[in-house]
Amino acid sequence: MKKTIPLFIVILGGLIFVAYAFSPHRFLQDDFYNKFYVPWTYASAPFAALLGIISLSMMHSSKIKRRAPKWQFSYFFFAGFIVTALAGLIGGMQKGGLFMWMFENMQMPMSATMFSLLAFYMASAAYKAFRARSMEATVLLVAAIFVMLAQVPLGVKISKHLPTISQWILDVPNLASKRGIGLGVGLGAVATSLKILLGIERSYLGGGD
Amino acid sequence: MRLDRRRLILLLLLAFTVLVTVIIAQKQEDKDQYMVKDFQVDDVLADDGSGLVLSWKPLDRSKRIIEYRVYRGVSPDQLFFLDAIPVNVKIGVASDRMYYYDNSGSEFIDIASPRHLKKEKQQDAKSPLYRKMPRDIPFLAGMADKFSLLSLVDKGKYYYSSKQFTTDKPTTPGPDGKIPESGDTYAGLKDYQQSVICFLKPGEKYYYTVVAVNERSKFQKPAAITVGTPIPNPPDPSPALYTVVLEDKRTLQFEWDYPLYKDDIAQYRIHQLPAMSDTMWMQLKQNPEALQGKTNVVAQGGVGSGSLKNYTTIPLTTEEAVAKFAEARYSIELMDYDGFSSYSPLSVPRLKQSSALPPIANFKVEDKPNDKGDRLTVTWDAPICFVVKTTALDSKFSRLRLNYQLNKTEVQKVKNIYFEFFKTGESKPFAKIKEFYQDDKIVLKLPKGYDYKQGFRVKITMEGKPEIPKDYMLEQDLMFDPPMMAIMPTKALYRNGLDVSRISNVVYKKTISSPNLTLVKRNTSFDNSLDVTIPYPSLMQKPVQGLSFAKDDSLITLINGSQGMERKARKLQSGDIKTPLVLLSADLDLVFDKKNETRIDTSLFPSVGVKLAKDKVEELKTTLADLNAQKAALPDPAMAAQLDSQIDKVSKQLAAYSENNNLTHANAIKGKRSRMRYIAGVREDYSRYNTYQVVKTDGKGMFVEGELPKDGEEIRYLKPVSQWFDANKYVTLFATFLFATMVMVFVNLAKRGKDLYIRPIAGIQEIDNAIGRATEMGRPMLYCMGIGSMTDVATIASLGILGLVAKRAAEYDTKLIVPCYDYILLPIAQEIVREAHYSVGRPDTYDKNTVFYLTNSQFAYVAGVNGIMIRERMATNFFLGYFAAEALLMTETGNSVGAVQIAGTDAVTQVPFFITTCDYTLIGEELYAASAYLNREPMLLGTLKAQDYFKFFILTIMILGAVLSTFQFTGLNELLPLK
Repeated sequence: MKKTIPLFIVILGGLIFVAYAFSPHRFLQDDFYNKFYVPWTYASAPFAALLGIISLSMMHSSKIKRRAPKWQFSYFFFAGFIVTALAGLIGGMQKGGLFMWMFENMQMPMSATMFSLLAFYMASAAYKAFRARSMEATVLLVAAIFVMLAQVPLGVKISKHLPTISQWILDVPNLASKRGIGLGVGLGAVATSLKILLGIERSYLGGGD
Repeated sequence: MRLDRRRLILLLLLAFTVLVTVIIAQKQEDKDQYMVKDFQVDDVLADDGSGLVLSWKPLDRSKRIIEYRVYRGVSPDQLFFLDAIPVNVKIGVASDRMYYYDNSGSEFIDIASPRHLKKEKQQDAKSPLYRKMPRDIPFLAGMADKFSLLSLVDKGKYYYSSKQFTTDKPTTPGPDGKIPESGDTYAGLKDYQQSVICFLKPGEKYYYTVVAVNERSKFQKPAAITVGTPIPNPPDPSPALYTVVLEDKRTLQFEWDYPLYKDDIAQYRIHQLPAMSDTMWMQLKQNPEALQGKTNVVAQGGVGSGSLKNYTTIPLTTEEAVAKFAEARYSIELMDYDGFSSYSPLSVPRLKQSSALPPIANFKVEDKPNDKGDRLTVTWDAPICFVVKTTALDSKFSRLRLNYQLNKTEVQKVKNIYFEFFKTGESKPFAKIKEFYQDDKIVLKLPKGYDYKQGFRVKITMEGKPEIPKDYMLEQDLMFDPPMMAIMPTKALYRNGLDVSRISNVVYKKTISSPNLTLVKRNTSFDNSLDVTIPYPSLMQKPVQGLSFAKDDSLITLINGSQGMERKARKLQSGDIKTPLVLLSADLDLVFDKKNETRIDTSLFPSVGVKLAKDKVEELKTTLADLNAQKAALPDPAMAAQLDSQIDKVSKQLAAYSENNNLTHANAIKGKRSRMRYIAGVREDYSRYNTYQVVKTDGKGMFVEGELPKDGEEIRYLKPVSQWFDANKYVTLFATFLFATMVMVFVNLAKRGKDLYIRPIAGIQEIDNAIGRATEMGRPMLYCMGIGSMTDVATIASLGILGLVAKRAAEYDTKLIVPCYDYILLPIAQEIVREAHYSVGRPDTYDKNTVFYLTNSQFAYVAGVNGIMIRERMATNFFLGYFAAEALLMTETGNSVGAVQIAGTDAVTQVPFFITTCDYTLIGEELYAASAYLNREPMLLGTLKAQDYFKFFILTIMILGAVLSTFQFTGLNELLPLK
C-alpha cells in the first residue's frame, strides 16, 4: 500500500498530462491546468521549501553539536538565514530595502565571482582537451582553432574563408552530433515517461519495492 | 585668554549648535530640493467628465528618483495611494513635464488592499498620505458617493456565494404611484470576494499630490495638494468625413474617421449644406442658432457602446437629381451621451461609378480547428503570398534570396507556390520557381548582364486545398532601393491586376442580442483572415448599487438613488446580515428569445426569479391592455397604426416571458445551486454566439459591405467549439502507441528469458570500481543530481542510479554525501538512500544528514559543493542529472582533489566539459539507460531495446523523407508535425 497509492497517483497524473498534451479541450487546458494544477503547485511549493530549510538547519545544528570539522562555518548559515529572512519579512523585498541591498551587494557579486571563475576553468579544461595525444584529440584541436580564430578579427585577417569554415564546422558536424544526442535524449525521455506511466520505473518512489 | 574648562565646554557647545543648525538647514534645503514642483491638476479635454490629468516637473536625474507615487482623496486631509510611475534611475525623465491621466477605472478595493486604514511608510502623524484605500466597507461608505463604482467579481462567486439582501419595504409610493409590496433585492458580496474599481464623477472635487521616491526607498516631501474637478466636454470633431456619390446606383456613401477619444460618442448625424468656403463653415458651426435651417440631416444613427461603425449608405429617390447631391457639402456631427456635439470640416463629395468600388467580400466564418473553443476564423480571401524582402547573395546582385510570407488559415493547405519573374516591360518570364516545400525563402538567379537597378516584377500563383481559383494571381514590383542598397518590394500588391494595397478588410461582429454591429479589427489586403477570440466568461461586471453594514446596534444601508447614495439606518433585527456587503444587482440576463426578439432577465435568487417573471407578465399584460385601449380610442386609423409597432413589441415580450422554455425550466428548479447551474449554462452558451461581416473599403468612402451569413432568411450565428483532440497530433499519437507497443513486446521477450544484448557502456561499468576505490581509501563519495527538478527526465534517471550507488555504498560502509539543489527532491533522495541501507541490512549506518538540501541558487550551490569536496577530500564524485554553467566549476574542483569522477547529463552543452574533466561520461540517453543497465531487470532492459529499435525506425523515416523531398515528394514531410 505504501507504494501502490503513490504509484496510482503518479500513473493517473501522468495519464492526465498525456491527455493534456494531445487535447486542446477547455476542460483540460483551463479547468484542470490553469484552475486546478497551477494553483495547487503554487500552494504546495512553500511546504516543500520548509522541508529543505528544516533539512539544512538540522544538518548544520548537528555539525555544531558534534563539533564536526569546520563546524564554525555553520554559524554563518544560521546568521545568513536569519538576517536575510528578517530583512525580507520586516523590510520587504523591494528595491532600496535591506533584503535587496544584500541581494545586490552580497549575493550577486558572489555569484558573479563564481561564474567568472568559469573562464579560468575553461582555459584549464581546454588545455587538457587540446593536447594532441590521439587522433580524436587532434581533430578537436584543429576544429577548435578554426572556430576560435573565426570569432576574432585576426581570423578574418588570416583568411577570409575562415569564418565560412568555422560556420560549416558549427552547422554540419557539430550540429549533426548535437542533433544525434538530442534525438537519443528525446527518445530516452519518452521511454522514461512510458516506464513511469506503465509502472516499470519506480525509483522516484524512494527505492525498494 | 586661557582656555579653561568652562570656556572649552562653552566653545564646544557653540560649535555643536552651529553644526546642528547647519545640518538642519542643509536637510531642510535637501527636502525642498527633492520636492516635486509645479504640480497641476487639469480636466481632460473632449471627455465625458470622468478624467483629470496630473502634470508636474520631474526632479533632476542626480536625485536618483526611482518612482513617483500619486495619491488621491476626496478631502485634502486623507489622500490614498493611487499609482506609482516607475522611472529609470540612471536615465531619469527626458521630458520637461510628467503626465498622469486619471481617466480610467482605478482600484477602489481589492483582495490586496489593506484591511484597515494604514498610514503610508515614513509619514508622521500629521501626514495626509495613506496606503491604498482600505478594504473597510463602513469606512469607504463615506466616500463611495464620490465615485462611480464597478464590481469585477468571479462568476462562480457571484452565482453561488452572493447573499440575498432585501431592503425594507418602502413607505413612500414609487414612480407608478403605488407603494411596492416589498423592498428591492440585491446580491451582496463581501469585500474580499471581488475587486471594485472606481471612476471619477463629473463635478466632484478630487485632491491629489505626488511624492518622489528615491532608489533607497526614501519618500520625499509631497507636492502641494492640488484640487481638480472633472467636467464633461464636447467631443473632438471627426477629423474627416468622406462623401461619395455613386452616380449609377444613385446612392450617397459616407465614411468618417473618429477622433482620438471616442469612448463617449453615442450618435452621429450627417448634415447636408449648400456649398460654402471653409472659413464660412468655421464661423457658422460656432453658432448653432445660425446653423438651424441651413442644414438638412441626410443620415443619423447610433454608434455607442463600442460599436464605432464609421460608414453609412443613403439611397437617393428617383425624383432627386444626382447633381444636387454632388454639388452640396456635408459635415458629420458627433454627439456624446451628455448631449454635447461637434462638427467635422466640410466634405466635398466625389462623383463615382459603382464599377470603381472594391469587390464585395465573399467571406466565411468557421470554427478554428484544434483549439479549446475560444476562436472563430473569418476568412475573406484565398491564401495570400507576397515577397517581404530580398538579400543579395553576392556583390554583383546576380543571386538574390527572396523571403516571402504566406498568409493562410489553418484549414487552407497550399501545395505549391509558383513564382514567375519578369524584367520590366517584358511579358516572358526570365525565371520560374516552383516552391513545393514552403520554408519562406527562395533563391533567384538574375540573368547575366541584367541591370538589377531596373527592378523586376514577380507573379505568384498557388495550388492547394480548398481549391484556389486558377485565375487567382498576385503580383508585386521589386525595385532597387538606394538607401537600403537592396531590391525591395514596392507598397503595391496587385490581385488579378488590381492594386489592392489601399483596400482594408474591416471585420465587424454582432452578438445574438445586439441590434448593432461592432468593430473588431481593420485588416490590410495582405491579410486573408482574422482569428477572433471569444473568451469563456470568467468575470461578471456589475455596477455597485449600494453598501450595507452593521454599526453598533444599527443596520446601515447606502443605496444608489436619484440624489446619489441614500443612507438609511435602523435597529438591527434578527436575520439581518451584519457582515459588510457590497450590493450588486441580482438581475441577470438568461437568454435571448430569438423568436420573440426579446432578452429575458431573471434573478440570482429562486423566489425572486419566480416573482420577477410573474410580475413582468402582469406588467406586460397591463401595458398591452392599455395600449389596445389607447388604440381603440383613437379616431384616426393612421394614428392608431403608429401604436401597432409598440403593441407588437409588448406582445412579443409577453410571449417571451410567458412561454420561454428556459425561463420556465429555470423557475421550476427549487434548489438555488442547481437552478444557478442551469442558468449559467444557458446564459454563457447563448452569449458566445456571434456573427460577422467584412466591409472592403479604401477608407475614403468607397466601401462595399459583405452579406451577413444566413440560413435561409435568418442570420447565422456561430460559437466556437472546444475540441477533444488536436488533429495535428495524430502522427505523434501513432508514434507513441507504436513505441509503447515495442516496449511491451521487448519487455515480454525479456521476461521470457530472451537474452537482450546491450552494448557495454564504460561509464556505467566503472561505477562499482569507483565505489570500491572510495572504500579502499576510506574517503566519502559525492552524488550530485545537478540543478534539475523532479520534472526533468535526467533527474528521474539520476534518482534511479542513486538507489544503486547508495546500496553499494551501504554494503561497503562508505559515506555517501548527496547535496540537493531542489527541495522537492530532498525527501525523495533521503527515502531512496534510507531504503538502500535497509535493503542491504545496514539501517544503522544511515545518516539522513548526509542527504541534505543545500540551496537553489546556482552559484551558491557550486560554492557549497566545491567546499564539501575540498573539506571531505572526496574519493569519488558522481555528477548525474541536469547541469548548466556550474558543471565545469564542480568537475574541475573534483579533478583537483584527485577524485574519480563519473558524470552523465542530457544537457548537450555540458557534455564537452564533462568529457574533458571527468574519467567517464554518460552522454545523453546513456544516462537514462544506466539504471536498466545496472539492474539488468528484464522490464528495464526491454524498454532499452525498444528505444534502440525505435531510433532505427526514426532514422529510416528521416532518410526516406530526405530522399523523397529531393524528388519533390513532400507528402511524408507534411505528414510529420513540425514540433
